[in-house]
Amino acid sequence: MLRATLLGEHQRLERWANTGGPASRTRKMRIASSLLGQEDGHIRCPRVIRLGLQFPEGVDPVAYATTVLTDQGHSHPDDLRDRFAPPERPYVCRAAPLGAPRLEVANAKAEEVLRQALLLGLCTAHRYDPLRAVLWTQASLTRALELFDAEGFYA
Amino acid sequence: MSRSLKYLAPLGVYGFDNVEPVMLAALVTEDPMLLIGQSGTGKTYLLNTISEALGLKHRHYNASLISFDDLVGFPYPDEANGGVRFLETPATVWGAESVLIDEISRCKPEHQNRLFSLVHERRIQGIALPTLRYRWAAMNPCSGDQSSLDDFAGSEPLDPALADRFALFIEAADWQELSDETRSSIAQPGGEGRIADDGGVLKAQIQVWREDFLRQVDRPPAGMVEYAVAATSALNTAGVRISPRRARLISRSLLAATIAAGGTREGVFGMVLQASIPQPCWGVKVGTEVVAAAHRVAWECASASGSSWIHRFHAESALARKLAILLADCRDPDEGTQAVAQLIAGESRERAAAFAFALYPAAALGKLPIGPEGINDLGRIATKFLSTDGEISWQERLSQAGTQHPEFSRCAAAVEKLKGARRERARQFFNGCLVEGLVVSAPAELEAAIESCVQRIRRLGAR
Repeated sequence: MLRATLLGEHQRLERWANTGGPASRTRKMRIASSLLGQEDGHIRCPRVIRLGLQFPEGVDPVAYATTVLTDQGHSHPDDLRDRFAPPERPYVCRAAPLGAPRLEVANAKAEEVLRQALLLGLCTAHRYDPLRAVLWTQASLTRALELFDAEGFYA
Repeated sequence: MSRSLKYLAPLGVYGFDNVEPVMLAALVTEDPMLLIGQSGTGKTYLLNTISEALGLKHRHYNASLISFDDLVGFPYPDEANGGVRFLETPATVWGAESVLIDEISRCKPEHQNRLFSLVHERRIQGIALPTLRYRWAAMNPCSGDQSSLDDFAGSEPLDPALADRFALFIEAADWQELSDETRSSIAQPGGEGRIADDGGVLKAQIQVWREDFLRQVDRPPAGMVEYAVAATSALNTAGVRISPRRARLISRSLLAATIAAGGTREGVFGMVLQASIPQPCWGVKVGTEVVAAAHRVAWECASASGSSWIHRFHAESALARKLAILLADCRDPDEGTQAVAQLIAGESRERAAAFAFALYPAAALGKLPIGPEGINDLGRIATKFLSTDGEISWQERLSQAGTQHPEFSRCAAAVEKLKGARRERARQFFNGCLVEGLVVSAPAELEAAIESCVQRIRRLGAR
């Protein structure tokens, strides 16, 4: 807005003119906070495990994991429970942040690949459930997840 | 077996066929009844006629003209007992079996207060009226501002506390709502001044139904109480305030109407519910579609068997009460999943988010009777609120500096006085709301709802 003062013969005249410019500006603020992974404060929901497998491009994750499984002498993913003793408590799952490190299956030990594949097979996008059947699907094996103990939410 | 009710027409009362089951219910329960209608619609005639048919000692008072002495008689000292006695006249209320307070909405406030105990407690001046069975009243419709030509000058909104003492409200039909047959019957020139006499049919029938009512009132048929509870919850959720007392009155009226109708009939239940809404007494119109929706929910709740808890779950408005119903009555995780999915689909975004935020961690821990799909449904919403990372923007005038997002300020006010874990949860939830662009209508109330759920789950863990 512009203000102009016109000098007349007998009085000063003020006029306001709209310049067309904005009368307001956009403010922005970033909000980043979480109760998951918090290890101080009253609510403590610590991260327990981070999971994520990186398969070579063009490889079918289910076929790849099944091959590793049979190579290690197992016939079914559920057989891995005896070998790795997965955590017995259910956990809350959250997608790992973009760019979070994943285990490159091509270079990793079969032991670690199968351990993570077992745990991923026990997870949905939102929950790790040790009691459910191990399900290896394209979706389950390619998820990158962080598992949290949510008991502290109700502190 | 159901029966068609036709007790009023033989008495020369026409135009009330559609509400006859409700009217008979009020005669069976002996709970107070209020008729609302335009002038000349037969309200007073109906009630006076019923009193004649039942052979009652009846008193008919016009509340706009009444003085207290008319009700109790002229007081004089009781020298023998050192108190006050009242000189009785044929018009005083002592010994009456039925009382009609006509034009109750034209009554002076101080008289309304005296009528209050008469209607509610069958007492006057603190003295019991042991013979009084029926308390009836009639009024013209009122409106809040008297701005319409159809408004009745002097018909004031009834005090909601007084209105809440009436169990049933019957709206008398006006001419254009009557059938041709009823119009002809009403227009017959004879009958004026004749004493109603149906040979004692109505009186005998009411006595039989009353005995049946008293036998069943402590153990009403299955579904009746569930209907009353669900309907009350649904109406309150819809913003139609129904008091806890009225929930009991609805149950009583349902039982009586069911007895009079010869069986449980959905139409009768709907009619009783419609007639149990007190708001018209103070000029508030409640849409018939709102009552019909509450009736549907309640009827499903009353008629469903194993999964009736789901209907109660949805009829309940408080999130913590929903959780309590889920915890107490859900035996099948698939049903829990169904309830959660329907809640998420049916509730506002903010309430669905609050519910998911409070329940998801417990559901994931396996503490709630919700199946995997339901847990995922909750998780899909809750994870956006448990962890937040996003940008919010708002407009600031050039002349201002250091402003905050308007929602940020509102939510901060709700968090400000909280402490400890509750504060951390609230702050995180509202951060999620800001990032998700969720406008919370009442932040403090929503936070309290979340906290109630958290407390309930915490108690669960402690058991």
